[in-house]
Amino acid sequence: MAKQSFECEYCSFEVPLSSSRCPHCARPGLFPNVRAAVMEEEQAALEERYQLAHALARKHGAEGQLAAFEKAVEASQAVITRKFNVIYRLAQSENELYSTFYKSVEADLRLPSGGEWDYIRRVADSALFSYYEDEIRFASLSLDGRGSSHYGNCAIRLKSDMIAHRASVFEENSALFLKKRMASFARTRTVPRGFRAPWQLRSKLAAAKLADRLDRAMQPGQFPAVLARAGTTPAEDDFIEVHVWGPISIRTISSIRYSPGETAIPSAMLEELRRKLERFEVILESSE
Amino acid sequence: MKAIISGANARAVTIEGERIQSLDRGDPSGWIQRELWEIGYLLADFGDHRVVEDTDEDAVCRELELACDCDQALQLILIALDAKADRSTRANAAGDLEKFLEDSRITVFVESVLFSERLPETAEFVTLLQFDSPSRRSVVGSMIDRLVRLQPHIEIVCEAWERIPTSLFGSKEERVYGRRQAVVDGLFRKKVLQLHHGGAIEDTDDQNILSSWNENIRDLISQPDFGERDSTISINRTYSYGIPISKLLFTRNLRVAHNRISDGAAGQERRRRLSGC
Repeated sequence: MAKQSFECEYCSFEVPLSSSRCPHCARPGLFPNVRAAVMEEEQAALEERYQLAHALARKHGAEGQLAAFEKAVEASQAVITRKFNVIYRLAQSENELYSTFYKSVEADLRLPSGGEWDYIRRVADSALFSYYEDEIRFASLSLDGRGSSHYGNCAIRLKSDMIAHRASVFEENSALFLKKRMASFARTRTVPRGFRAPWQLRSKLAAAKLADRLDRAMQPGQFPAVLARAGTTPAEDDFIEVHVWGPISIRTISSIRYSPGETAIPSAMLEELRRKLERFEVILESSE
Repeated sequence: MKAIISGANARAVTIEGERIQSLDRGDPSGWIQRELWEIGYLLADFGDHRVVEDTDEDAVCRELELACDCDQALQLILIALDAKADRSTRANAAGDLEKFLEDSRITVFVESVLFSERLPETAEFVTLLQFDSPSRRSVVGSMIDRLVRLQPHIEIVCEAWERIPTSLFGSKEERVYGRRQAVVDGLFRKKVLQLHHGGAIEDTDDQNILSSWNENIRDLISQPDFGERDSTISINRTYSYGIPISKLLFTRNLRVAHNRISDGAAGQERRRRLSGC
């Protein structure tokens, strides 16, 4: 049975894993997703995968590439891809917050019920973010500031120092990860260990996952495409998912890469966005 | 076919049995097949979803176009009124807005939002009106004229809404949703215009939100200072207001979570109670 609680560092009473503060003395603790990622069992399983990855790289003569890849990923960033209007609204004020899937959709929409999605979501909820799923924002790990183009034309790069303490990384799109393993999860009720890590160990997870895609001829310029691979459909996108606990505002964003799409945005809205982003010192890059 | 349409997101999602598709305005790919797990990602960012039952692809395309235009028009009027925005940006916004307001459905939508709150005391219209030529009032200028002229009525209608007991909504949260629903359904606009044109505010015996609202309006206009309020807030005085747009930004939020009210059993119930049906 996986550990469900930890000891408060101050009062030493039990604190549920899902709690971000001690229910007894109210002192803040680690964020629940980070705490889940640093658990001993997770770390041990990840270490095992990591050692296997190195063994594989040695076998293929790609140890140098793996080391360089890990070094590169240490500087990777969390990117959220969204439409222009999301950015536009976020930039209106520093009080505008980027909502979570659960906050904005679950309460709003009656999704098809009793279907596969409901099941996958319930699985993901209980397995990955028990009792705090409405606090998690999803991003992907990126080396070049690009994200999946399937969800919008603006790639929002988050400031690492604003999320490092509250972010964890996961092997892939968590909904798909659990979908693939639904049968085994239904049996064991546990998520396989070794597929998540705290933000600081994201390069370790990336190495464990992607070592077999590196070869001795690989150049650093190819690393971004190894870390995140765009598919023709969202389900084919392959990336390391970032889970950020808590709010994201315009102040959490370092830069935005905007790729103008087919939809015409009125010039006044673009000008206004530039002015507001300047105020918040967010860089707007246009990839025209 | 059921469709979920978001103008702010410029996206429609249709669900027909197991088949899920999305359409992004302006995306040359057209309709894209989706999987159930994607719905959350596709619709997560905005709360302006409108759910349409028993529809078809052509109707969804038309609805999506209109919803997007309404959203852009709302953003543009907010820029146009924003004293902090560059003069040239405001002029551009007002210019872009003109063509949107040629469609009366968009005008009604924008007015439905603008007529649902008193303008803050520092609104800035003068610059906006200066964009017009002396001989011709633009569509935007006319809308601003009307907005300013109707401020006393908007004030009455809003105050009357605020006097509705929270108990009729059930909770504070329901009250917020109910207000948003009333805005989106154009009820504030309807009452403001009714009041302006001297139309009777119907009397009903029902103990519902609408009858309470009506009763409050009647009560407010029967007070001795109503006439004064109407006459002393002149257009010129109102023009001298200089509104920081941050105070106006609430209007952006009015559309948020529209679907919370309009969809699902709870939404239907809210709608029923609001309409008194």
